[in-house]
Amino acid sequence: MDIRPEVLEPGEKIMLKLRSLYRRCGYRQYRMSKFDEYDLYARNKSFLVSNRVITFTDAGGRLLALKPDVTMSIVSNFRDEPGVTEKLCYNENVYRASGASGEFREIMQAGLECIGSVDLWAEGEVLMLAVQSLEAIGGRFVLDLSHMGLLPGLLEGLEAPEAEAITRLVTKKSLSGLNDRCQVLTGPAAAIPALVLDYLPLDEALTRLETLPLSGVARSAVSDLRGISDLLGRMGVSPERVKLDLSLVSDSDYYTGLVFKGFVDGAPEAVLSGGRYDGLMRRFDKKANAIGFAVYLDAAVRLERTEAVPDVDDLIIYDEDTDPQLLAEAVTKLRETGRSVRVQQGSAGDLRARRVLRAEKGGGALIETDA
Amino acid sequence: MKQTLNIALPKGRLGETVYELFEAAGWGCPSIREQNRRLIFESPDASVRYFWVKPSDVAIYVERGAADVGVAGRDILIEYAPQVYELLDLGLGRCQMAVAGPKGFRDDRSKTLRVATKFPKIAARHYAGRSRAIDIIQLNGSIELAPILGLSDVIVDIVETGATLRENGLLPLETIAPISARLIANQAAYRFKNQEISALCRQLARRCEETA
Repeated sequence: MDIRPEVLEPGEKIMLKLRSLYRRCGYRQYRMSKFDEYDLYARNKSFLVSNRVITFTDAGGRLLALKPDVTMSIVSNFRDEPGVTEKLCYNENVYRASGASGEFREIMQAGLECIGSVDLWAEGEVLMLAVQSLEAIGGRFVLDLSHMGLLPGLLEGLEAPEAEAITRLVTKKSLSGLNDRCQVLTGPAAAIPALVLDYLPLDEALTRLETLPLSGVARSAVSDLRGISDLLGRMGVSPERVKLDLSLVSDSDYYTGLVFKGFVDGAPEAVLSGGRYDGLMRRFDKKANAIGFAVYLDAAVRLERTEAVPDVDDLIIYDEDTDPQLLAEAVTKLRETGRSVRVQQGSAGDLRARRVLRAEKGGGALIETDA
Repeated sequence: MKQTLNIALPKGRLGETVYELFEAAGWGCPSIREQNRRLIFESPDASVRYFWVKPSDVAIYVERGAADVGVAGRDILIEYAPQVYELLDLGLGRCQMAVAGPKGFRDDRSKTLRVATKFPKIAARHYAGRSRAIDIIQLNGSIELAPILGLSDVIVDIVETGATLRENGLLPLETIAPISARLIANQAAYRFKNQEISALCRQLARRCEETA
């Protein structure tokens, strides 16, 4: 079956590219139902992008929610099977309140999850797919990466309020504030302002970190990141495309290791977001570990150039003298050559056609016209 | 290859002071001083483009990427919490977010406190956790009028010298937070125009230190 590229809507093209990308690595398609019990989301609001959820009551009086997220759905339905690792990919519409207006929107989300035993290989493969997803969207891109243990590890030894204040400044990238606070510190925390300002490729940032006197937690995070950095290099990912970003840490306990966000030039927010979410698995009483990411297709779609493609190749206008039988033969012949043909009486409004034809001789001949 | 940096400046007195700082830091654009109604100004070497924007809109332009960086007051940033990076405190436009009320005001805790403000979220957060029933009246300007006319008991507003308050028989009662102009950046632009934005940041920071 031939599908002409212009038939695909902007989001569909990317969606299909991503789907074939993930299937090439053996990920299987996950289909979810549209609603879940509201309770599921109420208990885990901080995992969601927005904590507002569309709810409704079903026939039995239960409070249900239109799904705001896919990962939670996958996790809650996952069955722990020792020794089994599941690799799932999806593209689904989710419903979230977004922006300052807080209006609910239907958002196209694609993504994948690797659940089960998650080792360096699995993590590397997921990150490689994240990079390739960004590539598929097109244009300049970057994948920013960090580890949940890294910033806390660098801040170890500081009083909690000080550590919190510095963490907040890091998430906002408040460089002057960070300089003021960290200049007076000894120990690895003093390196934080420079790491934020310099925005280095991952392997360079790690080299810098490896020269510091790190605590156990920080050292372990750096070592994990180093393993990933090397593996990605071997998988053919260009080092310039993967950078360290300390500001990616979140204050929830869902993410336990790697966290990452992908950006594409032209989209004002991250188009990809993911991490190692063993913490979320535990909240659902699952023993398996997990890593995955989501791609927000709405932002990506906005980047696609919409050329002024005609709506149809041929527009055929007929009148009341036309014999439909004769017309049918002529039109079928045209369509068999692969052309798209719209046939009607009267005007077609602002339809754009490559050719406009009139049915002459009662429908037996089609003559090109200007109008 | 150097990219053009799009900068949103707040229209008004603060914006002009901010521009002078940018110019002194090496990011000038002479055509901006021309007397006309244009809103976009590009420097001759195309390294920077400035736009004049309503002060409360700067954060929206930056959040949505229409501007790469901008200057917005901390009051706007706290109230609307846009998803932007807050790179520098420029130290300009210093003032306080404060609760103010009529001279001799005594808070009667048995009654709901009526608070008039342009900043409902800041006001709500300030009184949250105090077990104090409050009624927030959102206004858009001349907030000082509210307690004088009995529309509200107090106001939550920006106080600079306090002259406007005094002239209207009002006093600052409590300080909520210090406010000043901040350099903010779009999250994606921070990554793709990182060299230009870091350079701007460094040069502005140096200039701020020199004049401090």
